[in-house]
Amino acid sequence: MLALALSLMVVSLITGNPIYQVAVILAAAVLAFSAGVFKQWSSWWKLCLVIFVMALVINPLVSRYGATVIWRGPHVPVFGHLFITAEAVAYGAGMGLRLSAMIWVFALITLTVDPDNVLGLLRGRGAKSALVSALTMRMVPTMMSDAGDLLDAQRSRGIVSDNGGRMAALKSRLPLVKRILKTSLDRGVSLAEAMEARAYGSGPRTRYRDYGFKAGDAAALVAALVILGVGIAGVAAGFLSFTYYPTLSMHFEAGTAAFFAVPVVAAFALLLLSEIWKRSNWLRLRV
Amino acid sequence: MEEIELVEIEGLSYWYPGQDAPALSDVSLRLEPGEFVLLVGASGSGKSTLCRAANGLVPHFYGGRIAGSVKVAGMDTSACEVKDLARVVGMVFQDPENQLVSENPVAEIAFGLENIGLDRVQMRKRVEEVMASLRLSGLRDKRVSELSGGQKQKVALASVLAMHPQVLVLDEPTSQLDPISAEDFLSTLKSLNDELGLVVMLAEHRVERCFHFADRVVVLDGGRIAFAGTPAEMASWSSGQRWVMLPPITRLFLDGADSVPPLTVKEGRMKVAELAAGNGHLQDTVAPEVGPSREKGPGKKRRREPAQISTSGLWHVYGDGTEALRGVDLEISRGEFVAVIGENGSGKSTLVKHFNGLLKPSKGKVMVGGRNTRDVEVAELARTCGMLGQNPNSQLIADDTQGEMEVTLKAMKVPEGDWDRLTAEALDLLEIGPFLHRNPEDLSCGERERVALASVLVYKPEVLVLDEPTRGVDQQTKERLSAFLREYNARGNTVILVTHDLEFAADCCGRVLLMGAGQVLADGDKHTVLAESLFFTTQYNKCFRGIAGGVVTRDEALRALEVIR
Repeated sequence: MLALALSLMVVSLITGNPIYQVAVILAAAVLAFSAGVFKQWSSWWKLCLVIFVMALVINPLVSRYGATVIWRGPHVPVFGHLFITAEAVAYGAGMGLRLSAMIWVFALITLTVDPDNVLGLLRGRGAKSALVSALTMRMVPTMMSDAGDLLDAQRSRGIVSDNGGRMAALKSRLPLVKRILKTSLDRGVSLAEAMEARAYGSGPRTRYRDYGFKAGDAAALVAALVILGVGIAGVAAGFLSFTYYPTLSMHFEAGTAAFFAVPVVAAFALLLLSEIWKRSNWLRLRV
Repeated sequence: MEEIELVEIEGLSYWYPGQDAPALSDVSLRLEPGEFVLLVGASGSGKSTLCRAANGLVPHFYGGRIAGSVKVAGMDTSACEVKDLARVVGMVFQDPENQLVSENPVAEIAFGLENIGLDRVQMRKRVEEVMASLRLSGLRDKRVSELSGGQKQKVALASVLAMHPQVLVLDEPTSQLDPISAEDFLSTLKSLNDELGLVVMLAEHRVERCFHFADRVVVLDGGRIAFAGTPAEMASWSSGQRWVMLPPITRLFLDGADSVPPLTVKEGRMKVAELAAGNGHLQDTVAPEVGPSREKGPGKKRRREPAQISTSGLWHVYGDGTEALRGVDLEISRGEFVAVIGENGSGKSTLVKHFNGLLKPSKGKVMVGGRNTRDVEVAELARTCGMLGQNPNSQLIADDTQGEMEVTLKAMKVPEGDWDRLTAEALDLLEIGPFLHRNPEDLSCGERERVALASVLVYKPEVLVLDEPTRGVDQQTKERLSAFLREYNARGNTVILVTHDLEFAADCCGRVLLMGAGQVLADGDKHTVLAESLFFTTQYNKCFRGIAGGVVTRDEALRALEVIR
């Protein structure tokens, strides 16, 4: 999943073509569905929308490129004469889409990749730092709930106030930082004690889990390589080129559509494979 | 050849670094094979320290000075390291959050095995075996952060068991759990002791759940062993003591001048039946003074003035879709003392968080002091409704007790002229005068709880809401707390208590609210609600059921006992 998501991200970075971005988002949606996290994944739409709108609004205002002027504004100091071009709007939309695609893919990684597994890949080198990172992941939910309790308690005392502006709210929360740090430190010490009581540091450790390669991983890796390869090829061959300035233009021929389809098809293929995998004992016993 | 004792403590004294007073002084204790030893004592009596001495954390992890000797399986703990002792002595700590290192239960159980360098085949066998025996297999694919407190603590136990220790040391393992998980955990321990012959040393304040199955009870007082013997001997011994760490039932009969008191509810019930049969008393003649108090409750006179807190059609749905409250209609009048009881996840805490606006209703309405909570911010509502959460550590943020109270007074916009008077009154009520200039962090758990309470009580809110104030608190502290709350209530204030501790609730409340699945299941006078419940009732009631049905509190039980005797 990690490889797959990373390849989607790279592809989305290297191509500027907005239609391809849509394809990437679609592929991510299919993958999220097959991983069973579609609901949480789709809840990221708010962030994507905000980013998209920001890119859409800001770019035309600051960009001075593009040939088709659709609005001529007043003269503003520093910025000079304001004008908005259709191309700049389109570019803003394209940028927004690209950023959204990145966020969706990032959401997918966050939701599906178990930190322990990623750290497992780093075995051999830096076992200690792997452990530290695993512990961090483990303590984050605890610390969040500690902080929630603390905030509730202080709100109940009227010490943390809900209104009165951002600065006031921030100021009223400052004394809490000390307490949170103290609590975390206490937890850390207790944890160290518990680890020692379970023989941590007795010499060379063995590993319980085998992070070996499974058939499913191979399929995912193949799909990732296909997406990446086709994406790069498409860019190199100019199939996926899309230019915004000075006027919008896109290279389009029969092959282009096929390129767009690749990430989506790959994702669907994986979904299909995983469904077959779940249902077929025959396949499971033979692979 | 002489048999090697598993744990042999000889004349042990220990001083934490920078402390003049010893945490343990001249403690000698020998754990026999297959023994279940229960360690009791008030907080700060040295239970935790003694537990840590058995696996070398004291003195290796903490430093400090040590005198005397501790031998584990023939090894002197001062001469070898904690990690070597870990294979013989497994230890489970108080807070499950502070001892789990991994996000996955299987990886967690394997952690200790990885540390001692076991090969994969053996590890797999041990992990699976332990998971099956503690019935944890269903949690295999869960994340640790999704587990309940009880499940987390069982994972912690499993991870220790997988290392095949010969001695199991547990430092108040159930103090963070609700009574049902706690009972489950303790009976698991019991069966490990029975079937595997594991030596168990358990420090515990919830004695009613494990007292009867201990082979030996060791009482610690101020770092010394005050008593060691069987539970029955301990019960007789403690008859003359000023504080007692006994199950409520045992204590009841002891105070009723019984020389051989029962240790469990079952024994108590049999004894009561025996006495009642011998005297030929009938059900109605017992507990005569219970009657009049029943009618008090929310009397008709009070009904006329508008309720201080009322909810109508209150629903609360959390962000993840959990329906925590499902249509709660409720009225609480000024001056009532209400206990909210019910199992975990029944919506108790969610309900009371609506009373000061920390949570707003998803549907329905909550009125507090005539104001709709939706329109008023928390800081404003807090002036009427003071709330103390479960964890006193979240409450305390100042450097000393005085600062703690002044922070609240300032936030509540109390005129500065009144500060001295109010602080003095709170100090007096909660008897925390000596801690005025001490940092709450240096206080014991029970003392801290009182300081936290002071930080709310100081501005005298008309409504006081407490969420599980007795969790992890010893008997003595509990009794004082009950007295403070009744006193505060007697001054005309409303007190609302969320608790699992039914004996505590019955002791101080007038009205009981039983919640389940986000709804109010029963609401009324404590005698009605508790006496009608099969499970959600006090040990006293369970003991006198069928003979004196109205008995709910300790005082009533004592009176009933006098009558039938």
